[in-house]
Parts: sequence; structure tokens; C-alpha cells
Amino acid sequence: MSTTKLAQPASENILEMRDIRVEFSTGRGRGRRKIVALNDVSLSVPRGTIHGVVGESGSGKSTLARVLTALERSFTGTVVFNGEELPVRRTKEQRRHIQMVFQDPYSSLDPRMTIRQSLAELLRVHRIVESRDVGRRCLDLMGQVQLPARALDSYPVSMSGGQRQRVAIAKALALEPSLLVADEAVSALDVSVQAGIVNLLADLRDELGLSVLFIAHDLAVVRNLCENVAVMYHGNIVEDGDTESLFTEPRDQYTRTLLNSIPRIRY
Amino acid sequence: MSVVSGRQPLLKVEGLCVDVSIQGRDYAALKDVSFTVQRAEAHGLVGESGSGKSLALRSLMGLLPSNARVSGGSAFFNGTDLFANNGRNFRKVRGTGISMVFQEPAVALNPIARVGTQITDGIAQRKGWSRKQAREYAIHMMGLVGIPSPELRVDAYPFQLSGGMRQRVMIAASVACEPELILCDEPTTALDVTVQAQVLALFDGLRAELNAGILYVTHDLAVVSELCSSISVLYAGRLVESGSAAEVLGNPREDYTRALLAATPSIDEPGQRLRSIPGTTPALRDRPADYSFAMRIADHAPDSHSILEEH
Repeated sequence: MSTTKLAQPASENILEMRDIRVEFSTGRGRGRRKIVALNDVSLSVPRGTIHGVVGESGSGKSTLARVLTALERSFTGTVVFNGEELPVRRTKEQRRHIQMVFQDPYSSLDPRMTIRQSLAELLRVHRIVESRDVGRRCLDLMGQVQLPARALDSYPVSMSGGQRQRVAIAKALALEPSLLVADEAVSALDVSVQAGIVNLLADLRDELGLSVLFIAHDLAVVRNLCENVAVMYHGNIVEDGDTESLFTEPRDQYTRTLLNSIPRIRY
Repeated sequence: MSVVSGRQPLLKVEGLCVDVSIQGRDYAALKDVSFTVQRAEAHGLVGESGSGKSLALRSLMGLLPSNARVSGGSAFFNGTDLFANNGRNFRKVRGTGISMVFQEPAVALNPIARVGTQITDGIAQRKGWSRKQAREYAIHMMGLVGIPSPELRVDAYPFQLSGGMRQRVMIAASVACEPELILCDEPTTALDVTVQAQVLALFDGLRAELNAGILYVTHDLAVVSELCSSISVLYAGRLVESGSAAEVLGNPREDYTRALLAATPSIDEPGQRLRSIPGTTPALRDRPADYSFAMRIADHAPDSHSILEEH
């Protein structure tokens, strides 16, 4: 049963987040303060596209990802995924469709399991394929993330950062998600390795039709990868639009500040 | 450190070799690395993980990890070889002559000391200042590095400040004694681009105002291009290429420098597929003594079974 191909696209947007609000409180007694991490944020991701989210630390990028993947449950607003409103408590099937890739490829893999064991566990628990097909599926996944088949029998400790991040992506893809949430997934990598992961995400979009919410602080990467970009500032989306016009004709003052801060190779 | 003739470079590193001992065997982590930093000049030391750029920086402060040692070469700072005299020369230059800004201010700062105290610890002791004098100087330095309302923040603890503010505190602490050379180990990597731009402008100002030399270690070519006028590119412990920023970035001679540039996404010319560099730098233990970038490319030629892409 392959669920990558969804029966009928229920809507043009794979994801619509509407008026998402998250508040945290800090301090005790009189010092108690309320912090609005997301201030009625709305965001739509068209099917089969990569949507960038940029903004400084504390702007709410990661909270947005946590709401989306149900890691953060105390929020108001609605998350409409594939035409269906997702409840706060989701079923395993609903969680499967949205997968996350984290920043640190060194802490997101189990050091005691080979890559094959990690992938096989996922495939079995979520009953993605019949037991006899697990091995073949593992091989397919290695191909999708452009790793050699022999990598299946290695442990994470023997892999480089870029290879581990490919494994993290393979684990996400194992569940045949329709949306990948990449939270600073290339930020910890060397530029030469980062280029490979960026190209891989573009290939997955082009070949599998995968939709990606790409959270990053490197605007050059975002400009090269994403169809659309949302700029966040202090819990608000201050500007959201197609990448080209946002970079060439930014409307918002903060977006302009951000663009002017990017270091450039000027030779 | 008395004033020596203005002609000689502030820092002249020649033939620097650093060995790292792993399980009883010595491996050459840096081989014959030479570069110079002039007064009021920012010099960029660029390379990927494993290139040895941080080791090079730490060897100049005498801060190598216990299993690493300088096995050859010299580093003349104002005419004195830092490596001579059994490491005692470092004590004379730390703080007043050479200071260092680390990558992670949350780790480098003392969590249970007020930031003002941390900024002036060194200089107050040296100058025999009273607490009040030290506090005033701390406020002055915090203002200099662009911390808003320093008179309120001087008594804060590091955890009460944001990452950008903490990094400024560390910069203030490192320049408090008005050093002649500032060593920077990727000090903006953990910062937002807006804050990074401010910190780079700050370094540029200190360079011009204090006439200080800056040795700036990073993997980010764009950051180097913003700050540095000259660049050395390291690969696997060897110097690949060095020259003015315009030469190295605008007209690179070496394949490795070209490959790094092609892998860097451009903000102004998007839409081109990035070119990743095949493979990674092997760990120190796993690479032959004469390892070079050409060998990495040969190992990962498109026909050999590799993770790379043909584009």
C-alpha cells in the first residue's frame, strides 16, 4: 500500500494553518509574564512545493513546526492538512503524513542501531510494507536519499554529518509522508555538504512531488530552494509570498533589514 | 611587549605543524602552514570541518587540547616567537597582546558571574582598579560593542541576555585590554543574520579604531568576504591558497577554492543548481599523510559507488 500517491488531491494546498496562536508564560508570582510565541499566524503550502520560513531566533519558526507536527499541543486555531482538519490529538496515521527532519544529525539517530534496523523498525511499526518487503524498501530509501546500499549496515557513529542527515531524511521518507518539515536541517553542515542536501530536497520535490516546510536562517539557501517564503518576526508572519518578488521587491521593513544583513561574496 | 618597528607584521606564522595523538599514535593535523596578519588588517582562515583551522587558532593562544602539540614552525608576534621559551611567552601576551572570541558565548562565559565583572576581570587586576572604576569601564565597553542601556545590563548574568548580547559581552571582554590581535573562532555562527551583520561591523570598527589585527576563522566565505581583506584557505591541514580577498574569491587558482565557491548558494544569482563537493574530508586517522583535495575527488569519481551527484 503506497500512500505517497493520495487518492485525489483534496485541495490545492497540502497545508493550511489558520490563526494559530501559542502563548507561553514565564516567571513566577508578580514576575509572571505572558509571551505570545505565535500571534494568530496563517500559512498555506501549495502541494508539491517547498515553502521557506525565515526569521531570527525567537521569532516563532520552530513553534510553528512544533504545532504542525503535534509536538506542541496547547494552541488555538486550525491546521488543515490535505483538506482535513487535524485534531490536537492525532492518530498514528495522521502523524505519519507529516514528518520532521531536525537540525542536529548527531543527536537524532539511535547510536546503537544500524541504519537498516532504524528503518526496518519504522516500516514495521507503521506497517508500511509487508515483512518480506522490508529489505527491498530499505534499499529503495537509500536510493532516494542518494546513499550507497552498504550504508544500511553501518552505525551512525561511522557516518559524516551529511550522510547522517541523509539517513534522517530517509527515516522521514520511510513513512511515506506528504509533508516534510525541515527545521534548520542544513544549518549544521559544511557548505559543500549542505549543497548536497539542498539538491536532494529539490530532487525529492521534483521526483516524488513531496511538499516541504523549510525552516532556515540562511536566506541564500532559501532563495535557491523555495518557491515561496514566509518571513517571521516576533510571532507574526510579516511577509509571505513567492520567493522571487519577496527577494527583489520586499514590502515589509523587517524583510528589507533582513535582506540587507545577508553577507555577500563581493568579488 | 614594547613597541617594535612598524614594518614587521603583527603576526607571522611560518611552517606551523601541529600533531594530534590518537591512541598512542601521532597524526599530522597541520602541515607547514604559513600566513601573516598585519596591524589593522582582518585575515580570514577558511576551511571545512577537519581542515585544522580551529587548531591553528588555538595553537596561537597556547590553548591546544592536551593530545595536540606544536611540532614545528614558529609564530612571531611583534617579533617574539610564541612557541619559544617553553610556552611561557603566551602568558605575556594573553589578554593584552592577543585575545580570543569563542564560537559559543553561552559556554565561554561564566554562568554565575555578572557580565560586567567578566568584562573587566583581567584589566582591573592589571591596573589595580577599584570596583567602581571597573564597573564604569565595563559600562563604557558594553556601550562600545553596541549593548543598549549598558548601565542596566552591567549587573546581569549571562542567562539574562540573548545570544547576540552574550556574544557582544564576550567581544567586550576580549577587547577590554585593548589587544593588538583578536583571534575569532566562528564568533557569528550561532547568531541571526541581522545580529551577525552588527557584530561584523563591530569587528570592522575595532580593527580601524584600535588598529588591531584580526584573525578570523570560519567556513563561511560570504562572512569572510564582508570582513577580511586577505584570506588563507586550508584543506586537510594544509594551506591550499592564500592571497588578497579579491584574488582568492574573485579569481581562485586552486580547484578546492573553486569547489567551495560553487557550493556556496548565491543570494544574488539564484536558480543555479548548487555543486556539492564529492565525499567529505576523512578523519585524521583515516587519511594518508599526503592527503589532498585531488585524492578526495579521485576517490569519489562518478563511476565509483558514492553518495554524490553527477551534476
